[in-house]
Amino acid sequence: MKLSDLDQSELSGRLKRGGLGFQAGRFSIQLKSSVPSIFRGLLELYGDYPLTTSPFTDFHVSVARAKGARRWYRPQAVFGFNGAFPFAPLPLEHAFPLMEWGLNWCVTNHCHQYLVVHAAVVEKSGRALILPGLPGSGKSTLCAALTGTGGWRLLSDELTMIDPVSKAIIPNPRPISLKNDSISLIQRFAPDGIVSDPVRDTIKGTVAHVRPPASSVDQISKPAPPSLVVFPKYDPTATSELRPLAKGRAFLRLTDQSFNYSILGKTGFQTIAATLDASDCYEYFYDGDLRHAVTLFDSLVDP
Amino acid sequence: MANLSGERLPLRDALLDPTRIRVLDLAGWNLLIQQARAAGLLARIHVLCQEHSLIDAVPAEALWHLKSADQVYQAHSRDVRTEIGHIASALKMAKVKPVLLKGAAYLAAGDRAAKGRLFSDVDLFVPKPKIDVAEQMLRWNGWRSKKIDEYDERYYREWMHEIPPMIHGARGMTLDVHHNLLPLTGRLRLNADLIEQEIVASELPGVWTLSPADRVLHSAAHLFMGGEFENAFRDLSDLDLLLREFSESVPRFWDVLFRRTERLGLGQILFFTQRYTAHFFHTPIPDEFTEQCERFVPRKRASVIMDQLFRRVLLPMHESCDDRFSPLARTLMYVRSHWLRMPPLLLARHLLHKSLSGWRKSLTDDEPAG
Repeated sequence: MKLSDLDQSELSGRLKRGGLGFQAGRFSIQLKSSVPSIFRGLLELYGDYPLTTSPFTDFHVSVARAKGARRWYRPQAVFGFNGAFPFAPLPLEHAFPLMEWGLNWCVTNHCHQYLVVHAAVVEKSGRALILPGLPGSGKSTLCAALTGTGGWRLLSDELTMIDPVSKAIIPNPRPISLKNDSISLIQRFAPDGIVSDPVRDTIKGTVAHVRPPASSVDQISKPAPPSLVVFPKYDPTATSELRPLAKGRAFLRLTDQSFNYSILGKTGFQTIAATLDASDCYEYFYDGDLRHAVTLFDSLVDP
Repeated sequence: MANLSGERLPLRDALLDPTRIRVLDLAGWNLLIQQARAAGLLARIHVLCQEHSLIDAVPAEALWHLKSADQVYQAHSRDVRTEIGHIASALKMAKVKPVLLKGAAYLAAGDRAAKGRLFSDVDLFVPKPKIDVAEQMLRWNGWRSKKIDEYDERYYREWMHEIPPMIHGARGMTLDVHHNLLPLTGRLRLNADLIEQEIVASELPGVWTLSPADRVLHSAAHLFMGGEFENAFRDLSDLDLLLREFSESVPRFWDVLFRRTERLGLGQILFFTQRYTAHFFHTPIPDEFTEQCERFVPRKRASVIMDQLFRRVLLPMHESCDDRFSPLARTLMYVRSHWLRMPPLLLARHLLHKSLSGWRKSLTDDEPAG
C-alpha cells in the first residue's frame, strides 16, 4: 500500500497521532506532525512511497510547532529525532524543508554502514552516474533534469551511499531539492514534473522540491554499480564541456566530499578506491544548457 | 522504589544480561534501539552482542544500527588515543603529569567501562599550581580557547573547577582542563592534593588516571551532582561496570572505596551510587557495604524525594521511559545541581543571567545554530 492510497483524513489522523510509518527512501520512518505544510508536502511529493507495516522503524521523527512565546510570536517549527531536538527551530513556513534537511541529517549522522558522499546519483542502463559537488555546483539541477526527462533513475539528489561490502550504490530516493533560479529552470525544462510551492527566505534561499519519478521509488531496493563520476561546475559564462579528470584528483575530491570518510578510516579509503576503479572520471563545466547535459550523459552510458 | 518491568526497559535488560535479546521480537528491538540511541549506548550493546556471540541473533533491521554505532565507536577510540598521545607530549615539556578523567581515563586504563563508550571531548586534571603552564603549553602546541563571552570566561575561571574549554585548531577535538574535580564554589569541596596523591600510571605512555576508587567517586560525583541527564543512564552503566570490574581486580576494593569516600567526604555520593546501580543494574554489592553506607542516608523525608527524582532522571531520555512527572523531576534536579555548585546569591545572579540571555536568544534567533 502506498501513501497515496490513504484517504486524506486517515493520513492526517496518522500524522497527528505519530503513527504514519512509511519507507522514506532506503529507511523507514515514523513521522508525527500536525503542521499543515508537512501534510501538504507529503501529499504532493511522497504519494508513491510505500507504507510500512513492520513493527521496527529506523528513524522516529517529528516536526512540531515550537512552544513557549514562539507559539504566538513569529511561530517556529522544530525537528524532533528519537525524542531529542538536534537543530535550532526555524520559521514555521520552513517546516517542510526542515523535515527534508532533518532526514538528510539522519543519514549523515547515523548511517556509517555506508560511505556517504555529498553527491547526486542517478542510473541508466545499469550504470550509475555520481555527481559530487558543493552547493551551487548544479548537481541537484542536473539530477532533476536527467530524472525528469532523460529516463534516468533517481538514487539520491544529495547523499550517495556506497556499500563498502558490495561496492554498489544503495538507492535512497527522496524529493529533489532545488534552489532559487533552478526551480523555474526545471519547471520549464521538465514541465510534466511535480514541483512543490517554493518556500522563500530559508537559509538556502528559495527552496522547492521535485516529486521523484514513481519508477525510481519502486526500485528502492535495487542497488546500482558505480560507472561514472562527474564533478559538475555551473558557470553561466562558460561553454558546456566535459573534461577527463585524473583519478588521483578525483580521489582527493571524493574524500573531501565524504561525510564519514574519517569515521570509516581504511574502509572508506578502500570504498573510494573501488568506486573509482569501476568508473570513468570527468569534470563537467556547464552553462545551464540542460538539453546539452542530458544528451551528453546519455551518450556516456549508451554510446 | 518502583520495579522496572522488562517490557518497558529492554535496554537495561540487554545491558544486564545480553542473552535476553534472544527473546525480543521486532517490536522489542524497535524499543531497544530507540532507548539505546537516546542513551548513547548503541555501541555498548554491539560490544556485548559480540562478546556473547549474539550477533547472529540480532535481526537485520536492527543490526545495521548497531554496526553503524560501532563504526563511530572504533573511530572515537582511535582518534582519542591519538589525541592522548599529543596531550602527553605537549605536557611532558612542562613536566606536568596529565591525569585523564571519565571516558578518556577508562580507555587509557583499559577499563571495561571504555567498551562501546563514546565521548565528545577529553577531560584532564592538572594540579592548580601547574594549570597556567599547562594552558600555555597546550596553546603552543595548537590548542586554543573556544570562543565564549566575558561572563562565561569569568564563570569558569573564578567559580568553576576548570579553565574554559580548549579545542585543537587542526584536529578539532575539545579538551576540558580541570584543576579540581568539583566546583570551587560548591557545597561539597575536595582537597585536590588528596586526589593528586593517589593517581596511577595508565596503560598509555605519559598519561595518568585517578585510582580505581577515585575513578568511581569522580564519575559518581558528576552524575549525582550534575544537572543534565542526557547521558545519565550511560554514566550509571559505566559505574556498574567499574564497580563490577574493580570488585574483582582490586584487592579489598569495597573497604578501599569506603575509606576513600570518608577521607574525601563524599559519603552521600557513595550512598546514591550503591543505591541506584543496585536498583537499575543489580550490581553485586556486598550486604555489609550497603549497611555501612546507611550512615550516609539523607534525612528520611529527603531520601524519599530523592528516590522519586533519581528514579526518573537516571532513565534514558526517551518518551518510553518518561511519566508525567519526568519533566518536573529534570527541572528540579537542574536547579539542585546549581544549588550544589554555588552559594545562593551567586546562584540567583547566574540563573538570572542565563534566563535573560536564553530568552533574548529564543526571540532573536530565526536561523539554525547548526
